[in-house]
Amino acid sequence: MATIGINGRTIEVGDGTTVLDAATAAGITIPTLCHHKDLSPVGSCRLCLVEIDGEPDQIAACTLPVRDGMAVQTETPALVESRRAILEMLLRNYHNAGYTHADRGETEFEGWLRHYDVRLPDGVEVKPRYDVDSDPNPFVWVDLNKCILCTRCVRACEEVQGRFVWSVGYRGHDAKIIAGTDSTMLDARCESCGACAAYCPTGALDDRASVRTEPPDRSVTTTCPYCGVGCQFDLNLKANRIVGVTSNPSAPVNGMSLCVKGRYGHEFVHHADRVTSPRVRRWLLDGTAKPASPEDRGDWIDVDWDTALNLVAERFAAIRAESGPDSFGVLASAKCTNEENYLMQKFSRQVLGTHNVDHCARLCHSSTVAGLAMAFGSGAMSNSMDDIVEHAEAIFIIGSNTTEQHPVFGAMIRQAVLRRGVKLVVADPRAIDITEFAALHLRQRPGTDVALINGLMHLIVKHNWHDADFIAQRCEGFDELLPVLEKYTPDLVARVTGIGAKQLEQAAQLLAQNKPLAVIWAMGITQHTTGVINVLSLANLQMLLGNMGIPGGGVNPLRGQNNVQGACDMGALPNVYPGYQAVADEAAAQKFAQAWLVRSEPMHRVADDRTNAVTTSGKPGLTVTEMLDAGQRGDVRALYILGEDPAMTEPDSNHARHCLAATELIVLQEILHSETAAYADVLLPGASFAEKDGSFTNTERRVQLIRRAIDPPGIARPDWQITGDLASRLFSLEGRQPAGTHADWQFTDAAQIMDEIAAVTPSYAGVSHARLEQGERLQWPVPALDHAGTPILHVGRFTRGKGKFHAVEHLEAAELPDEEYPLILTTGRVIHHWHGGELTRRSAALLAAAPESLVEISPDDATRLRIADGGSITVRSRRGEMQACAVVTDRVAPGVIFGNFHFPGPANVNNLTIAALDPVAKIPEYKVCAVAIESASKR
Amino acid sequence: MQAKMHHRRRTDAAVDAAVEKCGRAAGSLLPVLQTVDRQRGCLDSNVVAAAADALGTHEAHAFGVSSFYSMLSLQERHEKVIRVCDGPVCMACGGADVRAALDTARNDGWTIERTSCLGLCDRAPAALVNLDACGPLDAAKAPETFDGFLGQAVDYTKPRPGELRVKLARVGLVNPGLLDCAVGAGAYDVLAEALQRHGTDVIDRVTASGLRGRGGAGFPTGQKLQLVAHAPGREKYVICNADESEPTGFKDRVLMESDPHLLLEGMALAAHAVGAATGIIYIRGENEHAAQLLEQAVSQATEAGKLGDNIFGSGFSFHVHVHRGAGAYICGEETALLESLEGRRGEPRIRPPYPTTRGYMGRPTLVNNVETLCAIPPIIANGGEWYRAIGTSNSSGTKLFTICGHVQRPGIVEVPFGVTLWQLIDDFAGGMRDGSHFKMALAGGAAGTIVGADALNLPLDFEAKQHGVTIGSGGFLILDDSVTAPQLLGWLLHFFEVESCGKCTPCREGTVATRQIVERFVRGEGRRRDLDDLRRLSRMLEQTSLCGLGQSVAWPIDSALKNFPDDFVCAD
Repeated sequence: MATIGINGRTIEVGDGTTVLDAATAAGITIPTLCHHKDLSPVGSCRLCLVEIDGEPDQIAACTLPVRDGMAVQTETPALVESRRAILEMLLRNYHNAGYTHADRGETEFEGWLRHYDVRLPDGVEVKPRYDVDSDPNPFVWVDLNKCILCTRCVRACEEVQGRFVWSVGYRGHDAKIIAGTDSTMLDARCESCGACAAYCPTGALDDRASVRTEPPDRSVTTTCPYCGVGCQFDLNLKANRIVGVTSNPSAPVNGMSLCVKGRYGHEFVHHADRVTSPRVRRWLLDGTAKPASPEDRGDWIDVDWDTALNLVAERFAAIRAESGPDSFGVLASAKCTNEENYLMQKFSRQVLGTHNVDHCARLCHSSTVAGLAMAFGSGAMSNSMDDIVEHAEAIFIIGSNTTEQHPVFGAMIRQAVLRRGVKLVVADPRAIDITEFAALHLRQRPGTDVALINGLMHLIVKHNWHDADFIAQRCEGFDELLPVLEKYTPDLVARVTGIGAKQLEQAAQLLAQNKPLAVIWAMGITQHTTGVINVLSLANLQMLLGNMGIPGGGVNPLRGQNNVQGACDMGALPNVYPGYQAVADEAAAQKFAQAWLVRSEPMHRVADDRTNAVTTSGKPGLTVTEMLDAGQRGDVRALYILGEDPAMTEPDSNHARHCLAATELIVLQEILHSETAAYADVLLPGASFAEKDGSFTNTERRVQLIRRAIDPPGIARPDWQITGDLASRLFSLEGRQPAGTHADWQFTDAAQIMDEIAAVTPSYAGVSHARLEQGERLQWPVPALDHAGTPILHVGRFTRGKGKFHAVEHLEAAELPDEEYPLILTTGRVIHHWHGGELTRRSAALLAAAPESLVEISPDDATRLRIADGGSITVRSRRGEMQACAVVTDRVAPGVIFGNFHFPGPANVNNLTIAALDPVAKIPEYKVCAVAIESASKR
Repeated sequence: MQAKMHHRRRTDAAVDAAVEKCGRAAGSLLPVLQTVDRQRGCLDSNVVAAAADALGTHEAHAFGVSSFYSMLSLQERHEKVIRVCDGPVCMACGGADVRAALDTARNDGWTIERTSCLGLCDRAPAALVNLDACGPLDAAKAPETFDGFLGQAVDYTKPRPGELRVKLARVGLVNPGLLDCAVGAGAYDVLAEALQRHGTDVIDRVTASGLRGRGGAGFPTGQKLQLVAHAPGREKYVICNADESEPTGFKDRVLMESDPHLLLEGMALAAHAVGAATGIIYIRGENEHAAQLLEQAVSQATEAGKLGDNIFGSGFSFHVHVHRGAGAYICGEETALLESLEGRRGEPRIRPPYPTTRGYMGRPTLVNNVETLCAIPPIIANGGEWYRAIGTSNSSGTKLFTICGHVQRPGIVEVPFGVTLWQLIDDFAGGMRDGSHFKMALAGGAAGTIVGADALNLPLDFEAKQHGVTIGSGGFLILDDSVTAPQLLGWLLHFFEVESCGKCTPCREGTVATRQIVERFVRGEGRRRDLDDLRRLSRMLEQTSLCGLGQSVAWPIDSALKNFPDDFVCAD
């Protein structure tokens, strides 16, 4: 500790603190421009000069460490004169063309000019030195006439984003900020995260959308509707519109950091494709027969809510009466709130009486949930993102394109490598961006993960690098694992995976000898017919190395959608009630039967009383893919879909669309006219994330609020209200009444729903909107209102008691290349789009940055098949074909091509993918199928 | 505009070859860029990106470096280049006419550029013709440079009467290209002997000698050796600052060109003292001749076992590398020099930490000027007391002074501290040029003071600053009354403006603002308000600049205003 005086006040501060930080902590403001607390100090603007007793010079406070006994003055007349001179110097090169910039109000620079009353001297005229709007980036506005060379943008790009787009070029008075080789931001591989603009103190870099617009009248802090990282930010609002996004430095996960979608991708909220009124097909209104054509279900008629909901209730009641509860399928939504997902599964189980409820987690992490439940007893990310980047010594990313799919976490990992020298090993068939930061990139053949992981464990055991104490004390089944590992020699692994023995050895050493090791995965592991055993292998690896239940370690599946974790937590799955209470568990079934108890009025009693009761079936319901098939067969007669787009996202989408077309009644609750809307009979307009209250649970089990910032368009309503209204109408139509403790549907706000969730879900027992509103940071399990949450799972004990090793063997993918279809297709996302692209394709800027379906092909294959970079290609599989634009790149290995699934119709990669399912989790094998490719011009 | 997320590696054959030669390290960036620039005459964005890819850095960074150094060009340039010096000495001696003559004559095969002071002040007006020194020139002769005219170098083989040559002792006696010749004259004898004793002996003798750094700051050399020797860390470096770019300064060039082994021996002794195994000579890129001589000397000495592994069987190893700068005065500032060495823009670091504890690659580093290091062998040979007896009480030993401008015989002399400016002009430089009278001197280079006749009899040493005369690195520009103080100041501020790195606000903007004001006085348009502004900006520069460059801009301004107020005629 050091004792220093600042302006006569005595202050105790830690050694190594800078004078600036000491002053800030004491509430004393020293003016700064180049300084930002998130960025390394450079001491270049010289505004923060202070005087130190006994020293002749004025010294920059931002880079001056405190010394015991130091006496500092921060605002003497001499300092004020210096600051005014410096500000005047900056002003002599600052040219403001006079346009407005909405999200900023007064900039930091303008604020200091005003504070010190600095104006240009008489006769000095500033001429613009650069073009206003000098960079074509669709998201970021560049006007270097306002640049004061503080270099915050350069440092933000390096030290926050890890991207190195910016630098200072040239020298002296000619110095200016440059992107790449003084070219354009996008040429310099800019991700357009906007950090440079967020950190800019002058508006030289700004959000393009907020330039020349009116300032917002208010802002609301909320949670991003995109990936599972769970960033928070301030939505800037003007009247009933979103006009921009500003970083909120106190955001728990991301601080100032955001990605291109989170900062710039909210145009969909006001898009013309929004559904603003309930709509039903003409045949439903007319009471005529449904049109026979699968492609055209007839005209849409806009109706009022009563008409739409009564119509749905009547149809549902009729089908329930005729065919029973299991003739329904309910799709909840990973894009919607916890509260809404809870209501959807409650609707399914209580109102309809079926476990046929599922959502798109089936298609992304069902194998993770199943595999981790088998190994540990619960299936979620065990550690937290900040814990990993702060404490891991090594990180193993396998099957996660982290920097594109979870960009803010990806940026955090890049910083962990840059700042702490974390050893990063990436296993991925593609040379994805994060491999540039990896100590080692293992490029396995798609679908050979078990062999790879077994091979790593073979070497770890052989070198005696495993954690014998941990295994002995906390695990079981190790002895059964050993003989299997024995077989996975480096030779065998090289033959199966294509990874050489030397690389495998290096990888094993890096992973084993840098403890703690955090393992991170996503769809590259899960979307296989071997999804569950892939996950089991990773659980094996982390138990073997003793990396469970410790900071910086753990198993860390990254959830893809904003609330896919929450949708699972809420029991929007066919086999579990909220909080993963198994439907097969008699006690759980009884608990919910009581809580949700419904009484039928005598006149409405039906022969089979179970039709009107909460389902207590111990048998799990149908999964997404199974529901669609059942719809085609007629076993499922009605689908109630909330915010999902199966026509776009199901594998083998020709088949999926065929199933949807054949389904008798589809009620779609959506915000947009999605691809699936073409197959719907009733369209119920829901609310976007900005138009309703509720909560999302991010990938690390953190529950965070979203807030109603604007009104939904037209007569659209928050989804929880719609589901509740429908439930009440159906009850009333069927003469049923809620009778259990939590059977009611009369919610007046989302917080009440969360209270009900807490009452029936042990892991959410301590979660309430009130706590979240107070800024509490809660990661489940939160077993009680006075519990602070659980950042790390499995500390001291696994959920199931002992961790269980599972001896698993390599299995080939369902469809391998052959003469007719000689290439392996693997699929995924790109940074500018998300999910099926429903939201991101409705942002003009995102679409400008990534306008079409791209397929990556290796230079070898491209040469052989005479495919040019940028050329049009046709890709065919046994199930269909797609059109795309070829990108010739060594990101993919020969024999493998990669397509993204963001574009609909002929450009949809899911025309090609195969609906082969993992036997346990029923997840489809999106990551491997056999295709043929040719230049489109040939046809 | 479509995003380009996928990295495509850029390649260039010349870059690959240069990387092969210079090594695949971050610090190779500048040498690689320089190699290609010299081969092709310029760089382009593909070369810059290829260099970044090959060295594992980023293209924006590489471009930032490429565009920082004035000898590198990002614009197409002819293979043959004449760089005409616009430093204050050359400007005082007709440099503007030379440039005008060259521009008028023009030759299609040549690019004509400006350059800041080349350190050829004894040949002013001077130019660099490709990489050859050229001068003195005049307007008539200038076009002959297209046909190979290079002028005549000044001969320093014989001492001028009254010199006391310690560091220049072997000049004229040895052939700088031949090790045997230097060894015959005693080179490396002192090192051989010193290696038999502990390194602290070197520190003790240097401390006893009272030697102070000859780069300008005058920091006690013994103390610096001690700091590095005692700094924790096994790996340490000795770096010779040979980036001599101060206008009026060319003493280091003469030392390196005439007796390179003296410098190498001095570096080896310093390395022995501090426990370093690696030495780097950072030499300005304009001085290719000296760089090649040094490389030759290093290789000959290493081959002969005077440098390299296990020198003289002592167990002490010392390897020396020659690193060329590429045109940046600021790299003479030691932390900017280190940044440049590590492959970055030559922008000064925040101090502390000082290089003595965290220097090159974060390791303890001794950074000393050429002349300082050259003083070490004679001090070790003759003892600290011997050296201390020369010079004045606070400034011991001899000093290399350079005298240039309006004198009969511009050049360099080695004399004890305490000599007066009058003696330098009259006794050593042959007096003022024909028919002219002394008006003022720029003492100690651009980062110096502008003094008048009352400074002529002041004994010159480090304490002379108390009396308003900075000696800096020992360079003096002598001017007669054909030049006004605003003119001289204008040349200096132009120099500072183009050489400012641009990192900190006061220097980046203040050098421009002050130059604009001073030019108004040169044009006779100065206003009274301008004088106030000049003083105010000068105070800002001195008080608030990040490094010595910006701070020292105040010295010539303040001294000119003080000593030559009548030259600043106000039009209002």
